[in-house]
Amino acid sequence: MNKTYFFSLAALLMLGACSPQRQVWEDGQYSLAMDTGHTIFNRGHMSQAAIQYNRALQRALAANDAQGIHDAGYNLATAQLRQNKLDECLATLDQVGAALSVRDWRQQEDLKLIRSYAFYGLKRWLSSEKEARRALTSQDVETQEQAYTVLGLNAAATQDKALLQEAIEHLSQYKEARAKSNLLELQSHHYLMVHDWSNAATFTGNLTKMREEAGDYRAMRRALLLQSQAYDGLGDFDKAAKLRRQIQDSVQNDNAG
Amino acid sequence: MLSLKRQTDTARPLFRNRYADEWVGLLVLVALVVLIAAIIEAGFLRQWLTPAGRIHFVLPESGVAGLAINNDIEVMGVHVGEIRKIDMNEAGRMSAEGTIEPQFERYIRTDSTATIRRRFVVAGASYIELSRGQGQPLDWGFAVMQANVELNPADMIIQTLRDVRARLLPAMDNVQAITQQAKELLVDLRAGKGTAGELLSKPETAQHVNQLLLSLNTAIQNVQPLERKLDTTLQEANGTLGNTHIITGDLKKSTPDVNAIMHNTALSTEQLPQLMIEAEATADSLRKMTDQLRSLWILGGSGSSKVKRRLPAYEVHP
Repeated sequence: MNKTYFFSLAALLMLGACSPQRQVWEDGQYSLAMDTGHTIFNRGHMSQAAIQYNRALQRALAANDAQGIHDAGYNLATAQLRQNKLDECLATLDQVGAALSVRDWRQQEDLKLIRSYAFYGLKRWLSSEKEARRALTSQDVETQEQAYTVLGLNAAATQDKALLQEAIEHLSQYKEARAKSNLLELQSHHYLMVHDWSNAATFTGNLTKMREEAGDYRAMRRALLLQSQAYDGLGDFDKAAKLRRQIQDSVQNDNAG
Repeated sequence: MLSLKRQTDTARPLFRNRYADEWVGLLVLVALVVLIAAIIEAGFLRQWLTPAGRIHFVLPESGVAGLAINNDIEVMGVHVGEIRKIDMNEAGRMSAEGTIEPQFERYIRTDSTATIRRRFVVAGASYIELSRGQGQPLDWGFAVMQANVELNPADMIIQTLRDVRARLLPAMDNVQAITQQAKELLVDLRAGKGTAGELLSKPETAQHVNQLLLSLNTAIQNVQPLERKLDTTLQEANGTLGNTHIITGDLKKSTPDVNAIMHNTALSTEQLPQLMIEAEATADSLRKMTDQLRSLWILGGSGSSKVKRRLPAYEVHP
């Protein structure tokens, strides 16, 4: 009986070993830095992750690997965006964009998405919208979702109801949980914009819960702020003040990144 | 007359020279030649033949400081000429004309200055001192210079004394006024006028001062125990320092051991880079193995292409 198991396992492993090995070459140091960066990024230490991604970017540039430059640059810019180092993020995107253009690498829509978020953070709404529309041409569904989200956020900032409605309609087509929470955020903005305080309070409450469960505390604080605005609109200033106090506590004790 | 003629005829002449007149004439000629040669040698002839330069001095309006005809003109302390004439024009300005020996003309130029001085500073004959110039030569056809009078030291001293007096007198007046005011102030103080006078004259002030002194004395007495405590504290600090000294001595004794430890640490540290490289190599091998395992179809891998290392797009948000 034991022999049967042993031989079966050995046969499976040998079959596995016989599978086609078409591994593309990758620089060891690049891969190591990227993997380390991912691990640190997922644990929420953005500054340390940025160091690793920067190392990977340098390695990719040294190896003249366009795919590596793109991926490392994208990750580095994302980590900088998450740290709110927007100028550094834009500088990285410029550097990576130039390096990719030299290597005839055209697929830069995802980089446009990061640039759009960076401009949004800098309150450059028009530039942000322009870059988001470029990101919409991406074949990647997630990139499209995020591009619609930033479009909606821009519309909320500029009080552009039509654009906000357009973003909500597009985003409602996606079924992923992430897209749903983004949709909820845009809908909350919509209700706040039309002064439907009751719906706004309900939607923002749900949004806060979803963000909290997802572990995205920065987004949760945004949701709390929207919720406090909704309660201000309802005239419940005490509740609104408590929510703002909760935001302060969260900011003071959030050491991530 | 006959007797004289007889005697002459009979007397024999003492000296007879048939060419005496010629010799005398020759002697006179030789003397003249020697005289001319001496004159030429002495340069008198050249001086006579070369006319002296004439220079005109425009004299200051304040006066000529005793300058007179035949006074000297000097360049660099050398007598070079004399004042020949002093005139006064219609405008009332005085001018003087002097002669300059030709050989000194080259020292007197447009930037030379003419100063009228007295031979013995405040006394003696006046003379004109010309400074040596470095500029363009003067036009000796009609050379003109502005002459200045050197200030008389005696006049300067007198003027200075006048100035000092003019300044001292008001100052003395001020001193007198200040003294008068101080006197009045003292009188008022003694009379007990004003705040300061009242302070000085009132007996309460003296009492306050006495009270202050008493308080000060009490405070000093209070400080004395503190001083004793401070002394004790200092003694303790001294003891602590002694202990520290002992500890330092112990530390010094243990320094060789520390050195050995440091040496061992250095040796260990030298091996750290090697260890790091080995660790990186191990991690790389592990990663490759993981990639290979991932690519096994039996574990659900596709077994092809590069691993996607880009972060998912939903991570892109503020």
